[in-house]
Order: sequence, then C-alpha cells, then structure tokens
Amino acid sequence: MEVQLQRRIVNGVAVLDVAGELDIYTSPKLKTAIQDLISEGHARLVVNLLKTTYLDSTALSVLTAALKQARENGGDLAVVYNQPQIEKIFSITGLHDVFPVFHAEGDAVNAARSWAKGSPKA
Amino acid sequence: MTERKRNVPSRTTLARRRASKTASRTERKLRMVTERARKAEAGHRRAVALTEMLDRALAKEEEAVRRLALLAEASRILAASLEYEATLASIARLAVPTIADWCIVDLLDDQGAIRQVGIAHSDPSKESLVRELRLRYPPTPNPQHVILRVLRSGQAELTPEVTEADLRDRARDEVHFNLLRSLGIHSHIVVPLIARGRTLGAISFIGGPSRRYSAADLALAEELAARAAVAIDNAHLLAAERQARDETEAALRRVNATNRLIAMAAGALDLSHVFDEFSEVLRTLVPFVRVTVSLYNPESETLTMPYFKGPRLTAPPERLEGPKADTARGWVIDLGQAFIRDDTVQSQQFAEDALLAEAGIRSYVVVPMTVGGRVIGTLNFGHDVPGFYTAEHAQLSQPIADQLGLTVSRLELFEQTKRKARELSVTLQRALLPAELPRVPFVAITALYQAADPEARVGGDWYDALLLPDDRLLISIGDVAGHGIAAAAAMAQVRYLVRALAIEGRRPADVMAAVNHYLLQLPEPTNLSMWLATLDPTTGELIYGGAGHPPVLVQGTDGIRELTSQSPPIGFSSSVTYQDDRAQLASGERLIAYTDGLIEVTRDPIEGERRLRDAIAATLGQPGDRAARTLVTDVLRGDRQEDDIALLMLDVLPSSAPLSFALRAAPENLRRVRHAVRIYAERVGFPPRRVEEIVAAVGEAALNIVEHAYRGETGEVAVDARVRDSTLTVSLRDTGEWRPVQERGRGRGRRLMEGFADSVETVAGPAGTKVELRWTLTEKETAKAESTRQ
Repeated sequence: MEVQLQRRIVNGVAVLDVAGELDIYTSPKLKTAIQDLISEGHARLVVNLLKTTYLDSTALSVLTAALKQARENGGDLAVVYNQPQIEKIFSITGLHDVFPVFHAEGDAVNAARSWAKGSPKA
Repeated sequence: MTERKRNVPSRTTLARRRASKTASRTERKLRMVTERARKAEAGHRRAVALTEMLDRALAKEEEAVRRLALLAEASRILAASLEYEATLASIARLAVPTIADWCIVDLLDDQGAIRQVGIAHSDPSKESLVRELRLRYPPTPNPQHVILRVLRSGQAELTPEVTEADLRDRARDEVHFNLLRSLGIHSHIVVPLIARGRTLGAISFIGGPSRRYSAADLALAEELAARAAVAIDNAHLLAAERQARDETEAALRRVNATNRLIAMAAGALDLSHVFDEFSEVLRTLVPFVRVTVSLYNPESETLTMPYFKGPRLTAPPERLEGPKADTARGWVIDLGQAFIRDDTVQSQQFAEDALLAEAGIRSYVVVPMTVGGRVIGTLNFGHDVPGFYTAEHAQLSQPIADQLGLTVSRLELFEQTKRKARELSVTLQRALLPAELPRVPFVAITALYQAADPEARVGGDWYDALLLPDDRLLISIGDVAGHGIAAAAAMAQVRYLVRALAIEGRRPADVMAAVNHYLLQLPEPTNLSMWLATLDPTTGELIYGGAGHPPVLVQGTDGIRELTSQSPPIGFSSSVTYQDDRAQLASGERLIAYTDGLIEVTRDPIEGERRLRDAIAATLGQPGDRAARTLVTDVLRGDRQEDDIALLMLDVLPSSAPLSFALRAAPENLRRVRHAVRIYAERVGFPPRRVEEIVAAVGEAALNIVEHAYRGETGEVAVDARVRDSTLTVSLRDTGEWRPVQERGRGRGRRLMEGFADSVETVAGPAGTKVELRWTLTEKETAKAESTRQ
C-alpha cells in the first residue's frame, strides 16, 4: 500500500519500478526485491524512482548497499528520477555522483546494456 | 397468731373472795370480844397487810393488762409495715420501759453476720452509749457471748440477776466494764427470732437496777419475739417474691432488648442507625444522660468515637478520640473488664475525667464490647449524679455492649467488603476503558467517565477512540444494559470486537450487525445501545451508525445539529439491518456523543437534553477537557446521578490551530507524521516544492526517533507544528532518552535535515530530546497563503 514494487526485464536489463514512499518501514521491501534480482543473476539494475513520492536516508542506505553488490557482481545500478526533492536528496548527500543517474528510464536501460556484465547466467 | 391461755385472771378472783370473807369475820369479833382488842389490833394490822396484798394483786393485774396491751401494740406495729428493719426498731422502743430498761434487736444476715437494727434505752442519752458499746465491742465469735449462744441454740435465755462480778467476767477490758456498768445491766432476757425453724436474729431485753426478770417476763418476751419473727419472715417472703418478680421483669426486658437488637442488627446497614437503636435499648435497662461508643484500632492503638448522644463537652475535643493510653477506655480494652467512675470531680485519673466533669458528667461506666475474645471498643454511659452507678449497671449493660460489638464488626466487615468491591470496580472500569486516548492530527478527542454516585460501580458504559490503519479515526460509545461485573465484561468484549472489526476496515453498519450477531449467540444474551463512527481527520468526512443510542450532537458556529440514526438497539433481534450514515464535519465543529445516564439525570430525558443543549451552547469555544466537565456539571445541576455517564467529544480543529499529536515511535507511523506535516504545511501556505522539503526534513527527524524502536526501546514521537511571524516551527520530541544512532550512514539523515530546513536545533532536556526545524515563508508566499484563506 505504502510502496509498490514492480520488476520488469527491458532489453535484458532488470528494471524495478518503485511507486509510493520509501522509508524505514517500506525500504526492506526494496531491499528484498533487489536481493531477489541479484540472486537471480541480474547485475545490471535500473531502479525507477519516477513514481516515488518520498525517499529517506534508509532507502538511500538500501540503494548504496545494492549498488555495491551489483558492482561486485560486475554490474551496476542506475537510478531514474526527475523530482526536484529527490534530486535534492541525492545532491545533498553527494550520491548523485555515486550512482549513474538518469531522468528517463530509456536512457538508463540503454546505458545499462553497455555495462560490462549483462545478462543473467544462462 | 394464737394467744396462750394464762392463769392470771383466776388468781385475781380468788384473792377478792378471800379478802371479803376476812373483813366480815373481824367485825363480828370486835362486837363480841372487846378485851380481845390486842387481837383486834393485830387483826387490823393483818387487814392492812391484806389490803396491801390486794393492792399488789391489783397492780399485778394492771401489769398483766399492760403486757397484753404491749403485745397488741406490737402486733399492730408488726402488721402495719413490711419495712421490717424499721419495724423492729419500733418494737425495741415499745419494749422500753414496759418490759425492759433497754433493748437491742439483732438480725442475722445471709452470711451469718450480726446486724443491729434496733436500739432503745429508757434514758435516750444512753442510746449513744449502747451504739458505742456495739461499735467498740461487737459480739465476737465467742461461745460465751449470750446473743451468739442464743442465735446458735435457738433457745431463749433468762438471767434473773447479773452481778458486777458477772459484768467484769464479760468485759473485755476496763473501758468495756465501765461501759456495761454505766448502761446498767442487772437482769436480762435474750430471745431468738425464729420463723419456720430458721433463726433470724435475737431481741435482748435488759433490766436496770429495779428490774429482775422472771419466767413470766420470759414468756412475754418469747411471745413478742414469736410475733416479730413471723413478721420478719413474712417480709422476707414478700421481698423475695417481689425480687423474683423484678428479676423476671428485668430478665424479660433484657431478653426483649437483646432480641430487638439482634433483629435490628441483622438488617442494619448503617452504623449511626445502629448506635441510636442501641442507646435507646440501653436506656430501658440503665439510666444515663450521656452515651457514647468508642471503637479501638489496634494498629494505631487509637480510639475513635463514632457515636455520642447527650451533653457535649464544653471545650474541644467534641469527641474523646486519640491514643488509647491513659484513658479509662484503654484500661477497659486492656483488661476486658468494665470500669466504673464514681465521681469525675473527685478522681481525675484520666484526662477525660476532667472534660466529662466540666460537661456535668459526674459518674460513668465503661463497658467492653467483646467479640470473639477481643475487645473491639467500649460502650460508655454517664450520669450527672455522682456515685450513681454500681456493678449491677455494668452487668446489665454488658450484653448490650457485646451485641453492639458483634453488630459493629459485622457492619465493618460489610463496609470493608463493599469498599473492596468498589475499589475493584473502579480499577476494573479503568482497565476496561482506554487508558489513553489517541492524540491524532487535526482533531482533539476528549472523554469523560463518571460512575454513578455515590458508589462507583462497574458500569456497562464505554467510550473508545482508535486510529485505524487507513488513518481514519474510530470513535465508539455505548451502554450495555445492566450494571455490575457482568455488564462491564460484556462491554469490554463489545468494545474490543468493535475495534477488531473496524481495523479490518468494516463500516459502522457491518460492525453493528456483527456485534448484534455476537450478542445474540451469547449464553446469556444482553443488549446495548451504541454509536460508532470513522472519521477522516483531514477531510472531516464522517461515516457513522447508531443503534438505539441518544442522538449525537454537533456544535457548529451557527448552532447545534443532530446526527440521527434509525437503527434499534443491538441484541434483540437477528432480523435487524443496520445502516451507515454520512456527515461532514467542518473545521472548528465539535461532536458530542454521550450515554443516556447524562440526560436521564432528572428521570426526564427531554429536560436532560434541554439542559445539555444549553450547556453545549454555554461551553462554545472552551477547550475540550474543560467543556466536558462543565457539560456534566451543568446537566447534573447537583441532582443525584443515577446512572453511569460516558461522554465523548471530538473537535475538528480549525486550520489555524497548531498541529499537535503523538504516535508510538514505530516505523509504520513515520508515514503518518509526514502526512500530517505535509497537510499542515500546505494549509499554512507553503508551495508544493517547499512542502516536499519540509516533509523530507521532518521525515529524517522522525526517523531518528523511531530508530530507537529498532533498538528495542519503546516510546512516542510527539509532533508539534505552529506558525508564528511567518515562520513554521516543527518540533519533534521523543519520550525516551536520546541516543545517537550510528548505523547505516546516519550522517546522511542529519545532512538531509540541515539541507532541507532553514534551521535545525537539537535540544536535549530531561523529558527527552527535541529537534526543532524551521522554515520561514517568503513575503510572497505569505501573501498568497492569506489570499487563499480568504
């Protein structure tokens, strides 16, 4: 209810849509969803935050942990947002320089396809 | 009484005949023989002698007549009165000087002691000597003592001649001897007083120098004694009979009194009534002018005086209460025996003696009230006459005191049980009602429960408020039929059932239907009236349903309106359907729901409702808690409250009102904090972009508090927000101890707060830590906000 997560595979890239609010109560769901994707072999991940209405520091912690894990697996994790307050959250925390950040999902997916390790293990 | 035949009259007749014969013979001889003048001379002398003899005979006869008269007079005196002691004293007086120079009457009492009841002396000045004699030389258990000897043997004794030598023999010392001699004892008779074979006493007749007693005197004395003895015996019999009758009457009175007390005490529920009854019954047995009851508290060793009747003490204390030490009552309590004070003026051993003396209580009795061998208090009564009371009074009042003790302990036990039950009821009621009402954003909830006076019984009334998962607020109020534990238990079940159903998202109609179903399947079905609603605090949208409940009132700026609902009470029929009703509460409006105990105060609900509406109008604008108290007071107007009252009020706060709420510091509540602050920030005029920043900063501040919960701590996050001078201040407090959270890159939270708020201030105080975040509206924003509001 507070957050809705939906996963899609777009051109071999795992995309996670996050609609709603991400806080200490809902972030564990985000964490689980990303863990699931990684454990399934996805290393190239795009988290689409365009429908995220709120995001707090616990969500940032989940995302940075996931980023680290994706990179260890030879992949990467991109975030997509264009809301001013989320932009400000990433910039205040300096994370806009850490994550590949895109304003549109297509750009993110395209970029992801070029990342070294791509598709799931066959 | 039979008179003994005597030969005195026949002797007199003989003498007369002999005297006349002798006289005629002398005349004849004088005429015939003159020379026998010498003989005649002799004859004359003889005649003189004979005349003297005749005189003596006549005197003797007179004496006999006097003696008869004495006996007759004695009989008259003895028959005239039953006060035989006084009578015997008269008999003694009668005997002197006719047959004695002095006379003493002694009686034997039940213990065999000798008591002198009559003294008479021909010389009244010597009576005091007789008394002195008896006082100084009482008859000792000496077998030689003549009175004792007579009393023991039952045989009369005649001592014709008492010589000085005899007196000396009898005298114990020189003084005694002189005393006896000056009284003059020359002859005496001691006769026993015997009736029906029992020796009652003795009469001593004592003759002076000119009297020597003879057998004839003895016979007269015995006759007199016999008559006196019969009189004494009669008096004894009568007194015994009278005493027996008195005792029977007294016993009957005691039995009646005790029966009356037992009957009264068995039904009594009120001590003051009991005391009154007991004092009334006591009065039928013992006279008094003041009666009090003292109860003893062994733990504090103090006395209370729950009852007194009669003259008050002139100076404080009005009641003799306080430590038991140094009181007559304390003495009685310690020893378990009654205490009698003869004179409070003479003996002031206890402080209370003087106090009672001043109040005119001169004598008093303190009787222990003993229950099961323990003295629980004392029954006290006093009289204005000194020396009034005897041991008999204490004995008479003892059964009353004991019965009073039993009654008091029984009532105390009853009171104790009642008190415990009352305490239990109140505790239970508090446990059954919400300990705390939710403090939710945009509405203020006030509730009041007033149990029926004077005994706070457990009631079937309830109120409840709960924030539901969908952020709507559930409020419910109701009244289960009946009183006591059963009603309260049913109430609690229903209240939680309503909660559970509402949490599931059920609407009021569904909830009422489910409660109805639940009640009807209970082994002991009960019924109730209730009203419940869910409210969206941010919009004022109300969905409600009422079942047989008094109309809920809404007070707006333009008057009072009713929220009516048509459904019948719950718990009567399974075929009833319930319906949801809707209403819109505007900001600033107050909803007032109550149970019928409030409006049925005067037994006239219409009058009650009129009073309620007046009171509501009068409390317009008052804060909720004050208004609630005023409402109840104004409706009751000092009338006795017959039923429990539950009152639930809900204020939809005006948009200008500061935001103030508190939630459990739990992760799922952070969303609620942000939601409320978002709406508030919007309302006070912040543009959407700044609203999001405010929410982000508040979210981090709240998160910081809630993270304590992750560490196993519980507490609340309290949020206050207000705008003053175009500056929004949001303060968040935690009730626990602030501990910096060092995990998961918490530095980001701090940075976010500082990045989004105009200023961040953290204040650690004794009640917890407070974070204050501030934003200032620009002039443009302020102007825009003001134009929107208009």
